[in-house]
Amino acid sequence: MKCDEIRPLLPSFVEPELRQAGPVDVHLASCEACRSQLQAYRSLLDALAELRDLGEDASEASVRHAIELIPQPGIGTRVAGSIVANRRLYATLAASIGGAAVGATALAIALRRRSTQRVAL
Amino acid sequence: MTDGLVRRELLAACRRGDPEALEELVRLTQRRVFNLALRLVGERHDAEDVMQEAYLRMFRGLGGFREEARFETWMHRIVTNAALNLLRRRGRFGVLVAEDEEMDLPVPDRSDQIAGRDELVRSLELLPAGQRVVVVLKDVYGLSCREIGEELEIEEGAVKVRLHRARKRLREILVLEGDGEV
Repeated sequence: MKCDEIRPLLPSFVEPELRQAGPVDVHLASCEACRSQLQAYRSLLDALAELRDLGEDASEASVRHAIELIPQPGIGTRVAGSIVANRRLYATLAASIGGAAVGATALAIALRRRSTQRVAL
Repeated sequence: MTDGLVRRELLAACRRGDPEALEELVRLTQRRVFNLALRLVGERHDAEDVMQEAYLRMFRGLGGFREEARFETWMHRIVTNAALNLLRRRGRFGVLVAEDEEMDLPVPDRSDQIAGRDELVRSLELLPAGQRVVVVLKDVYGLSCREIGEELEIEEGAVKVRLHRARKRLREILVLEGDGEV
């Protein structure tokens, strides 16, 4: 294989997981230029791996914002307690609404019967 | 005993919902979270958005976190998912899954030169999002091609192709920047 056939393979060849050995190894054994390119890719991977433990802190504002997202204890409990304490009120309201609905239906039926009787007359 | 970044005791307190423990967790992990987000999305403002999203998911998911798993791996996955979601929302999803065209650039033979760290970071930011995500996850954070494929919901073979192109393009960018030794 020639250099211009080998060079496009080097970005993957640099890593054993992606490597397909064979002709490339044979060429590299005798081509210093391509070995140098391969070494450049290895250096690139080493430099990339170093980035993992480097970097900068997030802004203090971002950190505070993240901390504000922390759920506070007792809020869930307070909400549940509120629901329990008002359960009687909710039941009363539901009954009232239900009662009103029944009453309205009865009135509608009565009015309709009256109307029917008038027509019959 | 520690789980790498986070002590087991702290993690247990966080799982119980202790706000002070959760605050300590944020302060301990913010650098890792922010930098992973920044490497993936390429912009600081977007990285901060990803960070907020990631912590929100962490707080919600801590109750179900299995203690035998590594917290750092779990955290890493949450941040990556949040970053990918942002890239999709920003309309950059297409370049995450589409095949990238080869850059037609001359490549001078400066193979003995290594980029400075700042130039390397800038070069990463210049990559298309789809290539950047793959090379960051693989070459910076050490995920396998299979794991990256699962994150991006693409075939492992597609990951390898994208990784190959990303490394090649990265090297081309660095060489054209004309940088010297580290």
